[in-house]
Amino acid sequence: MNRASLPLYSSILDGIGVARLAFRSFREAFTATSGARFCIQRIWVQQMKFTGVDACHIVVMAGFLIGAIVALQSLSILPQVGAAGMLGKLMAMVVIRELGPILVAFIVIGRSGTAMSVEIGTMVVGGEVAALRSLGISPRAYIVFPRIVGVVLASFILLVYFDMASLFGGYVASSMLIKQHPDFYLRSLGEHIHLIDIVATILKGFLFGLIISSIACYFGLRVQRSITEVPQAAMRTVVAAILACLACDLLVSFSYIRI
Amino acid sequence: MSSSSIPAEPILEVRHVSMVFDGRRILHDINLSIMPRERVALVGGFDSGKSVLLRILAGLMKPATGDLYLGGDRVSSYDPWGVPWSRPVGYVSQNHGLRSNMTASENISLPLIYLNQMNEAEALSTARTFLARLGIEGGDRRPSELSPGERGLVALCRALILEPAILLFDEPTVVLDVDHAERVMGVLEEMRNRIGLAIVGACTSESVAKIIGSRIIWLKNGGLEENGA
Repeated sequence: MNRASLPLYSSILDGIGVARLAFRSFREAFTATSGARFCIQRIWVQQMKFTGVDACHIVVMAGFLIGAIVALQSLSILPQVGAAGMLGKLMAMVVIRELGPILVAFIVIGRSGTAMSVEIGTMVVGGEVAALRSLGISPRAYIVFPRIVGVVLASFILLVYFDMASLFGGYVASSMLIKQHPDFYLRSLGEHIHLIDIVATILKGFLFGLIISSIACYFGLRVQRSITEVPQAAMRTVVAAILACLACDLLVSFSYIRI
Repeated sequence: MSSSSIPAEPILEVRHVSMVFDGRRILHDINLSIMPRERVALVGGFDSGKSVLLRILAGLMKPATGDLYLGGDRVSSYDPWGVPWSRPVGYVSQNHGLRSNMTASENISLPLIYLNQMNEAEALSTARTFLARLGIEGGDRRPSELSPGERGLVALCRALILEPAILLFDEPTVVLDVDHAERVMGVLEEMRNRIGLAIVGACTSESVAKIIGSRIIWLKNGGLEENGA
């Protein structure tokens, strides 16, 4: 049996390919000329707008609802065990540290990851990538790097919006629906959300953005000749990015607990 | 580049190149040298491997066997997502490969800004001037708003804007219609004389081959057959 046909073996090869692509795109972009940087900057601004600004309302809505749901569920159980004051702790652990980064990552994968792999795959089939290469324009510097930068920055911004919206959702649920005193929720949050929670969530935002964009560009560029390969590239991007983000989340959370 | 400084050695050369796709032999033991100012027409049927040979010549595809030389230097590494050469090769594919989210002028100005450090306004002005030389009006249109012939001409402008030593053109028939043939050939002739531009065009028709090539090469059964025109 051909080793490349084994799922684990091909996944490892893909992982190495993604890491090499991201690393070399950064290396080529940082050694690019000023004219190249002008063109690259224009693309990462566009990417940031698409991934960050255009998805803002979705993330804010999701964050508000998740925050309200978690607060509601928590306040239905915690008072029964005499731990109502732990609401802030739960919001920090469940929403800020875990659900926020993962849900934002899923939204970015669904919207931008698939769009990027489809766009790049279509560029390959349409001969745009070959034309750029023949002109002397590196696809890694011109196509991959700005998308990675755009998605990484946008993921961070979306995560900040998500966290703020979810904390506000929790506030609305506890003070308006459960009729707790507003001070109770704010005091609980102040006591239990620490700087390391914010650092961990920001770190996850950056890492997930890097993972999603690198995987999307990798599978997009791997399209060869046929337009029928493009939806397959999008599908592979979704599956690989979800698994990679969850694995990365586990590693960061483990490191966080050790600290 | 002045006429006297044009080198007398081949610009591009392939030696013993073979290519196999899905077990089917496309090219077999191809040897081809392209000299400065040469006009070469590759003629063959729809499935003869002309486009594959052009992609190999452009450094965009790695041959199964054989070597590729640019300006006498052997190309030893092949990077599917990198730049094949340290200097540009003018390559126009059948689907033209224009960036769909850019206008015609922006497509042509991109290499000028990216590689030649030209500012955007100057690059766009240069692009519009080049388009006008080929008789294209309305450089502010996107590729989807252009006719196939216009798209081919925009791709040709983009390939020539950096003044490459060689132009590889897959199916130039589309830009050699009655209205544009004279202008296109005029521009190519001027660049041949000024910078020693060599032209390799792949086509299916012998009549088109006679327009673009002084040297006509047939691709049959994966091999080359040559006779002067």
